Amino acid sequence: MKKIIWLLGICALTAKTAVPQQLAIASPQGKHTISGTVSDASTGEELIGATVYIKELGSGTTTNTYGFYSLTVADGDYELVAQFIGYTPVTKRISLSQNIKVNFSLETATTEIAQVDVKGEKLNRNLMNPDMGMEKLQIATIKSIPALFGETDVIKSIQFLPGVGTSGEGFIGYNVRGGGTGQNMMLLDEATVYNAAHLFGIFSVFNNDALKDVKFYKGGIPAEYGGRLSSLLDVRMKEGSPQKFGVNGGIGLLSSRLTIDGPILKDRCSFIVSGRRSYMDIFFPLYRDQIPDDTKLYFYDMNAKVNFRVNDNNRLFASGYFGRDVMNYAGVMQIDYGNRTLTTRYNHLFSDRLFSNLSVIYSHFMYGLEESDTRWESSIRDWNAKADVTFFATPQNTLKTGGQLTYHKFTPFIVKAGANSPNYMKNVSQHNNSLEYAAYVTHETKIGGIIDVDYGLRLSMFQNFGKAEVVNLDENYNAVDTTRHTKGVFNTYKGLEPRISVNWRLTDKASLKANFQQTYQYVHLASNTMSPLPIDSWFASNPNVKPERCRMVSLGYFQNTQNDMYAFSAETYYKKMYDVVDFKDHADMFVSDDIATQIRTGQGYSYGLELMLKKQEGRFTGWISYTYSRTFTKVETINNNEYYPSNYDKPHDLSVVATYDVLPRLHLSLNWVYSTGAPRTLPTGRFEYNGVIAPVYAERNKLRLPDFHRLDLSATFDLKTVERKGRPWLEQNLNLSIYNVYNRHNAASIMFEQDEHDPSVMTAEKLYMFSIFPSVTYNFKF
Amino acid sequence: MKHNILTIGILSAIFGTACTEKIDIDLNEGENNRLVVEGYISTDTMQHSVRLTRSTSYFYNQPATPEKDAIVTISDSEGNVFPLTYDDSTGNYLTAPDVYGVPGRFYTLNIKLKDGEEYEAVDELIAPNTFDTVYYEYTNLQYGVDIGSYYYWFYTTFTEKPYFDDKYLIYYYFNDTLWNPTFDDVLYASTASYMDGCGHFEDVLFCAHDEDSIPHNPHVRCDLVTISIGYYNFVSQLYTETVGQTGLFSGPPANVCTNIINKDKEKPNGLGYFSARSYDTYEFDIVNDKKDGKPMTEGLKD
Repeated sequence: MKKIIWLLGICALTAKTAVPQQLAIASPQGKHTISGTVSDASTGEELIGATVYIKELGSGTTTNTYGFYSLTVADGDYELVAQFIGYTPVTKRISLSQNIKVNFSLETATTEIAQVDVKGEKLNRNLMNPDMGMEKLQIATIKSIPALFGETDVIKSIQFLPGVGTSGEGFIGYNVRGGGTGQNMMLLDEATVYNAAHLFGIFSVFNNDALKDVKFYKGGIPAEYGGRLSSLLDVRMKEGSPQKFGVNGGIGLLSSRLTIDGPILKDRCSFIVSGRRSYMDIFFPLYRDQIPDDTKLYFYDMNAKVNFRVNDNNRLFASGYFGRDVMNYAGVMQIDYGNRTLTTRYNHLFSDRLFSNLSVIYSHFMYGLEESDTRWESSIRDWNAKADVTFFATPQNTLKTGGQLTYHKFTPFIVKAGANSPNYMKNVSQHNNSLEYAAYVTHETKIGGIIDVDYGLRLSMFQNFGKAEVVNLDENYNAVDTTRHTKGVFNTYKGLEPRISVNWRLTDKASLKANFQQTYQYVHLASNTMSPLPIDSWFASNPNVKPERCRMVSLGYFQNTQNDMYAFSAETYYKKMYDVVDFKDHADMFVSDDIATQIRTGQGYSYGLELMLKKQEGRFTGWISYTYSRTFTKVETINNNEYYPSNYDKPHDLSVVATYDVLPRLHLSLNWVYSTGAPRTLPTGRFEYNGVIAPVYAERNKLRLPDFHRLDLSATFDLKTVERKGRPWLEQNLNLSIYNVYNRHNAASIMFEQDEHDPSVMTAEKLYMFSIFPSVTYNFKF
Repeated sequence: MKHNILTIGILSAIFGTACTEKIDIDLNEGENNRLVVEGYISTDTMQHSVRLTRSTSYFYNQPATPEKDAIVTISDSEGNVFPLTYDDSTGNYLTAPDVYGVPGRFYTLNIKLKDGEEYEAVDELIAPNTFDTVYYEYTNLQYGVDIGSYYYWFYTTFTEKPYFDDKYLIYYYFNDTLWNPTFDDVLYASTASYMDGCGHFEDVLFCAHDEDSIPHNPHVRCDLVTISIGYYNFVSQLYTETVGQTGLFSGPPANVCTNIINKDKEKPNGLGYFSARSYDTYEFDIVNDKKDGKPMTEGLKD
């Protein structure tokens, strides 16, 4: 608490000294505001994170997530420059004596299809702001990385970053700095995505063709975001061109996709619709000996967005996602699951320096399991209202504040018994309701031109309310009775979440950064499998389950060389997690009456060193990252209440990602990954009972799988552009990729088999998921 | 079991390249030499047996050797004591042939090894539940669809007890041979909220002549075995850690619980379980399983 008071004090003092009299919206005497947007000249889409600066003053700002910027400086004649990687910078001469609007349209530096999406901020952005543990992923980079089945993906790309581990080969679950897969917040246009997996994780729900901006925070999460302990993946969808219609898509081995965008009202209103459908089950007859007839496996999804510029000060957005996976095994059993989101946003400029956004968001995730004419269903519905205000006080000071309210409706269990259901089945439905509130304030300030500080405070609160039955547990977690609540709030948790990031620019080419953050998580994911599944259980805090809490400190050194062509970073962190949840040994969700009887809470800690060397420009680009990290967990009743390595504790992790433009039309890519084998609990002894060999285990996760490594290659060949009326009409490319080039059989798990002929003989087998796998994808863009 | 089939099936379906291969792995096995107990007392009047063996390293790959020269007794909560003697031919400790358990009593197994170590195990003998109906079908139809060949379907139903934690094993014998000797498909529990209060369970056994070695027109015996929650936990955990381990989609492995307690608290407990069980048995003969080539359904107990 003392630390929080100290932080608040610093906050108040700094705000008072750094921004005197600037909370008033009227411009200070002799100063006026330049504001506007920066957009892509060819599509009209606003650019997020573009730099706008005044040459004479050497100071500037970047556009926010809506492409808006605001600069307040002394009156005078200036050259105003807007720039963004992959685009030709634009300079405008301005004479400032009153508030003015200056909009920029930037032309792309190249029209090659593989490069069209190369959009990034300034190359030395890593040195210029206090963002630490944040990575802004380029869509073009994501598309260039060789991928399983040729299906490039945002989340698969994240897994190559230092500090990020994968929960299993081929799966999209990821672990960030020792956190669990359920501790990662994934937002699609601000809507929470509870499960981002398609087809158990071969694909994610994020369709590259519909995405505009991807930011990933493994630390330094801004105070405006909360709800998860470890990371934030903030994905924004494209808005569609307000100027011209476009069509692009791709035809792959397992799925195809199509995106259409264009104006509804030229320069004022645009739309984008993007859809995907997989068809891998058409190959099942080739595996007739392994896969029964009538087995189905497919997904489809659709992204759509409309935006309407009412006038220069008001803008409306509506976007949505709908996706569904269906897996039917031999017509006997079926699992289906999917997400639905809907986001409506209203941007309003109160003045040239006061930007506001109001969002109303709906998010829904469900899964169903069907067998013997009986259907089990579980779902989460969130209704969320969010308001944010940004005050661009001076080029050195930006204040943000806002709040949000989320209504969670969890339906952990619905049983729908059909006419042919087993006669012990009956229809059952359980729901529980909760509210999550948050308010925040942040201040970004630049001190003396060499120190940048982002600090803020988030106050979060969580309440269970409404009709509910809460089990009361004895000391052994057995349900002794039930308390029935009929209405009103019956349980409240609160949390203070201070965040601070500091950047000290040592030289023009080097900076030192530090970060501290405290985060709370009020909804929990308890996975009772070694690999994440769509049927993993999300549940809310309640009187039996406290919110999870995490404190993390990190320190980093950043250095650029050779005119920012090379960027090096070294980050280290220590993280302590409290009240993390895990299932008890032998938890059984199918025969338990309340999840509280099956889970246990504990604490964990992790630490690590992350090194990254990136080549940012030239024909050869890419990065090498190495992470040394450890993560340990201690959960009540597990491993004799002693700390044990977490399931995702992999001390050494190395990734190499490289792209080489061999010819103007031929691009080669490579990635190689290595990590220490994941820890596993394997038997050290055995005993016989009822004719079977039963294992005896020593400590949890004491042994490890063999080390993991894999090489993937891909080649993208830009086919001839078809022209009409002297202008490009159809741009196209062909991507060939080989996954697991040297065909290493990486162990996903170790299993033990009892010999059929001699039951006393046991043998060990490894399960591996993928051999070498080539694939081809054709991409086009009209 | 069905869920494991599902996950393996889905794995195959998604990852056509998924496969297994043998691997040499160092399990860092160390010393394993704990007492293992397998035995029970039931409501049937019979010669009850208890088997004592030792745990070994995981790749020992030899049958467990019986532990001899122990003093073994079973006593009940009414003060009755039943001594057991070692039988060289089976390697088991046996009671007299007229021993039976009484529902409602607690039964304690006492073991004193030749090195002086003493163990104790206690279980409650729950009152038996009884079958309501038993019948069978001999048919080539599943949900109205011809599945290609004829199979037996055996249906047994029984009423849930008025209290919360009903736990059962159901065994089927054909011509006096136990058809389901392991714990696959024999374990039933009624704690799930969607089952509780539904009146009765239905167990369905689905088996073919050829694959499952069931003779035509067999003599059938069904045992409904009521067990304690402790033994239910042991059996379900044993199942999870052996047959139920699919590696990827299974929960974290953990040791199977036990009720074999070492009286010296400083020393490790034993392994295995001593259980108390109550039986309801129903027997019948299938006289003609296929009349005029048409499927036959026959009710046997109502």
